[in-house]
Amino acid sequence: MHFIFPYLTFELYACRLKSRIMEILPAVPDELFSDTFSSAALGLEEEGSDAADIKAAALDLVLEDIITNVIFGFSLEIHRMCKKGVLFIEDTDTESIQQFKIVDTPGFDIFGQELKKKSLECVCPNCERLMAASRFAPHLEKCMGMGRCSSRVASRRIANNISKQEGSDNDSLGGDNDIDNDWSTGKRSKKVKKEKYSSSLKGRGRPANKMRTEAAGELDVSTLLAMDVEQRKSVLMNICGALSEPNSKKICTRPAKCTLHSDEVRQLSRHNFLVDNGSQRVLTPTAGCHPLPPDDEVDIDIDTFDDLDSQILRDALWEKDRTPTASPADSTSTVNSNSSKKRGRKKKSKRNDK
Amino acid sequence: MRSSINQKLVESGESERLKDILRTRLIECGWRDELKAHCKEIVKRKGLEHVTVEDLVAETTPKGRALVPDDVKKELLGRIRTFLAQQST
Repeated sequence: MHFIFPYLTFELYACRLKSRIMEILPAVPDELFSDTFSSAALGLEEEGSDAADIKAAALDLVLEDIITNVIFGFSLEIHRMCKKGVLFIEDTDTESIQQFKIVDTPGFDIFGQELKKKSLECVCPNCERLMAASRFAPHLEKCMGMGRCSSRVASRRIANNISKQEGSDNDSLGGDNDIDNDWSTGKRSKKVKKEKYSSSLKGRGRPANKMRTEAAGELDVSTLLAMDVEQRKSVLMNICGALSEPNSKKICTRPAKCTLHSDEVRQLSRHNFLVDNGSQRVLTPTAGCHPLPPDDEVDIDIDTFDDLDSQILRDALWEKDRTPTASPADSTSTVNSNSSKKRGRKKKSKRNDK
Repeated sequence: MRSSINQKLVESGESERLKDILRTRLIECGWRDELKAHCKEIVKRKGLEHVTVEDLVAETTPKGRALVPDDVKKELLGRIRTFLAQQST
């Protein structure tokens, strides 16, 4: 409605004006027609003129009416422009005319700039490579692995990325869970130590990951030995950690559940690095038969936990409550101490052998 | 006779068609630009606030009439004639 209203008022105004001007106009045409259409006017006045002449005169007048109408419309238009302030809008000074003159010389565009090929390049959001604009869409398709037959490279890369992400997720979430489980089955008397370990492991989770992703399948023993025990532990938490070959100095850096190496071999190597400080002892197969607990942390604790202490503790417990209603906690502690003792003896025997 | 021809032209809508043709022809031949420049002069002379439609019409009509090229007039006359011939048959 608001759009139509001004138009309607304008039309009404025009109609009103037209009627007023038509009152004025008859005074104008008389003079004008007398110049331009004198013959026609005369023809009308002449009594003995032909019908053709009369018709011609009438046609001239009709034409004049049409022309007058058009001029009237034009005048209204000009007036409208005048009142809206757009009449002089296209008047510019000579400077700007010179400045924005349309150039029509060959070899230049209309602004007078030289025609040269612009190298339009786009940055691929996926691999951040510079790409000619014309090649960008096909590249993106391949790079992101869209389309039906995306390139093998892209699909492989995506697969790698996914596996990495999943691996890191497992490390960040499941890794902690593993730690907790291990520790919960371990010694309760070491709570403070446990918290310290878990926090340190959480903190080191990412560097260890990074190292794993950076290392190309294998890690040198020397680099591992350069670290302190906690760092080694955090590294070994995330990788298989087994020696790639019996006498090589490379460690397998595949995920902890690597299928290439058995649990026994893993345990051995862990034991080797964490307990014996990386001494290149030849690990006999019998050593692998020890009932070692599945994870290295437990090894450490048991090792630091003195056999004498456990003995004393056990004796004390036995003496304290000989009642048949022994708490489960006690029983576990005794079992653990037993096993640790056993293991300790075996280790000692190993060292003696050497 | 003039009024009867006018009536026929308006009733059939031919008058609007003719006006359209005339407008385009006048724009094509530069009549419009010329007359616009003339109007600008008038507006400058009288002042933007004091211009009335009556003034503009009174000043532009004689000049506009005189400036309409003869061949445009001839074309329009021919069109009117053919229209009338079609009507009469």
